Amino acid sequence: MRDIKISFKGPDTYIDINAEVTDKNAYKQECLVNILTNRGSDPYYEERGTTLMKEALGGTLISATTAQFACNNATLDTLFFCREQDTDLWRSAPWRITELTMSLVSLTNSRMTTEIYAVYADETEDNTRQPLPIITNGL
Amino acid sequence: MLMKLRITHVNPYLSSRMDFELFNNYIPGVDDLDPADVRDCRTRLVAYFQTIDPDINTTVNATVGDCVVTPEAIVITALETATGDLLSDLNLSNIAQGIIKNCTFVANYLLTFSTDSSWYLKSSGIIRMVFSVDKNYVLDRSTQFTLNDTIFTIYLPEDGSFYIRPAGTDRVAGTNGITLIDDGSGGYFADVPVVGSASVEVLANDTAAMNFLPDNLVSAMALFDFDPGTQENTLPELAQRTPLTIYSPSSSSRKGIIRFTEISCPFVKSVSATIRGDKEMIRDVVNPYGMGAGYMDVFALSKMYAFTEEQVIRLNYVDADDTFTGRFYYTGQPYFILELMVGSVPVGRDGCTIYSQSSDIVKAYRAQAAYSPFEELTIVIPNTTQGGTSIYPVRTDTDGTKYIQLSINYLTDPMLPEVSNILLAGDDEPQNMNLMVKGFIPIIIESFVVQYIKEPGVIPDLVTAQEQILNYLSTCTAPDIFSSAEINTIVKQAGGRVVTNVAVAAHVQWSIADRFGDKESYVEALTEPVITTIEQLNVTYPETGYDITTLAAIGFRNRRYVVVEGAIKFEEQKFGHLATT
Repeated sequence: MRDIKISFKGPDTYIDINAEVTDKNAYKQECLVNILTNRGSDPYYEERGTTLMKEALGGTLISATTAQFACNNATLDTLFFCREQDTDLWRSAPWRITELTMSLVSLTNSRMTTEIYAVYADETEDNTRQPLPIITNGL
Repeated sequence: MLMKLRITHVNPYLSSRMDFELFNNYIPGVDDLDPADVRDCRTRLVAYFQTIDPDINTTVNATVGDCVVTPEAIVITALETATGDLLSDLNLSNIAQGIIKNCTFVANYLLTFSTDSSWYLKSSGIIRMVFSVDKNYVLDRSTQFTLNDTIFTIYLPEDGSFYIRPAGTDRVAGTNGITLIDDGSGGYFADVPVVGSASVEVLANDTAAMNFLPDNLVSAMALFDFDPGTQENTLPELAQRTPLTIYSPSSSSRKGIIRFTEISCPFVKSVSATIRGDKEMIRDVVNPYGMGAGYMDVFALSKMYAFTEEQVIRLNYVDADDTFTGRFYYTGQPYFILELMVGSVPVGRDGCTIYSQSSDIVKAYRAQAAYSPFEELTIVIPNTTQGGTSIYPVRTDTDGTKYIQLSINYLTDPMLPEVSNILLAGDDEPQNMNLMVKGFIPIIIESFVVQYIKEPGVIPDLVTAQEQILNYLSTCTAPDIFSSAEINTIVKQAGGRVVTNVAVAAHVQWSIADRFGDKESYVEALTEPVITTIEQLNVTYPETGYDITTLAAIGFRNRRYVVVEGAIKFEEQKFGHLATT
């Protein structure tokens, strides 16, 4: 599976049309996009996205426990949605994510940093943890 | 996070091509699209893309999926919606139901069938011209009648002028014209069919001014309220008429002649046709050639079907059989006699005998001529005396001929002769086909008693129900058949709960006459079938073949119903008391 790469750099996130991601990285990128998409912003897919960004920006993540709980919900929703969108060709692909974890690294008033951890269908793990900073004052 | 593509360059060639009716008037806004349609389109697009390159991630949340596939799905869905709407506007059936997306496009589209809002039904009617002298009159084609500041011209299916011929003479085939009728009071009248602009109100007895006054003209007045026609057609009405311009109206088929009649005679309310093989077609079975000669009977009912005519006819005394006998020259074929009077002396229907003869026994014989222009009627009233003197006011001519003046009130369809003239006009008369125009055979309903249970607490509106039942029965002709469910519906709408029974007494009136032939040689008209139940109103008689003596046959295609005044009654049943008859 191939896709155009997105460089996640907070407010400087951009589509890098000169680079591509493949297989595992492409699937992980798809999941990341879903996590960061606000639930309800897509008029054609009501179940797309998560409420994580709204909760972070809305100031409801008042503790590490609450933040971790929100991350867990986000990864669960994302996994369900992305697997639902898989085509028949990819349902048996080895790079398909079977387990997705988002761990809270740090939480402050203006910034929440997390790490994404994935387990794939071929039972390999994503050893290169993907830092995902969420700046609560405007991502 | 839905990535949005920003278009920074517009191809000027494309932008000029985009000024197209479809885009301007049919493409829906993005917000008007059904999300389910977009999802469905996207799924189809993904399947399509995967046949090109199955490796590219086209799913939701993928860069290509969100930036290319989803926007394409939105545009294609909009195009599909626009195409569907355009196809709907090309569908005459949808337009006729009022399902129209773009009125401008539909109006122009219907123009391609020569159907536009100016194709309206003209106002039509009859002007009765009364003359003081019985002789020939010629009305030029440019003759105009002015009623209510509107000009009406004579309806002329044939070439040439309109000829008004002396009383008692026959119509000359291939010419426009009519024969004068003696009104019994020294005058002679002729009914002239006219047409004019639509939506004009002309009432019965309105006086007509003429651009040219013929000699001896006493009066020219509208015989009845004119049919105003229709001035403007809505798009759905135009769409309903459009198939008439597509299907070739002709005399070569049942549907063709029906279409032709509807187009040529807009004053017709209903029309039916019988052809070889139909139960009701007798002429094609019994003909002097002994083989099928392309016979077709056209049965028509105009919007003036319930017109009441009053005529005075002269019956001369015949010493040999002590009767008063005379030819009944009618204006339009009578189908029900209301009253017969000689002066102030009522005659009653039983007090006279009417004979029917055909003026063309090859074309239509005996019952086949009934209700057609070929039926010639003769009325015979036996002289009844009291104390040696006739009960009737007998008059004596200057030459000593004794006679009485019979006043006859009857129901007729005055536009029916015009249907015959138009269908048999020179340029339109079908070749190699024996075509005849007749009125429907009436089933006379003497009694129609509706037994019902009313809705508790409701006062049923029986007056309206009576009018609706009368209208339903009077206009129920082919392709419709009588249905008792319609009576149920009418009674329910009027406040009744359920109709328990309808008691009917009716009979088929094969002809207005009692006998076919003349006084010396005749056969009696059939008295059967007698109708006593509501189901029998959909009568077919005989079940097989036809009556070989009178050549009578009736079926779905040639019957109609005539309700005698006062026949429709209602009887309320108390709940639990069901009628047994």
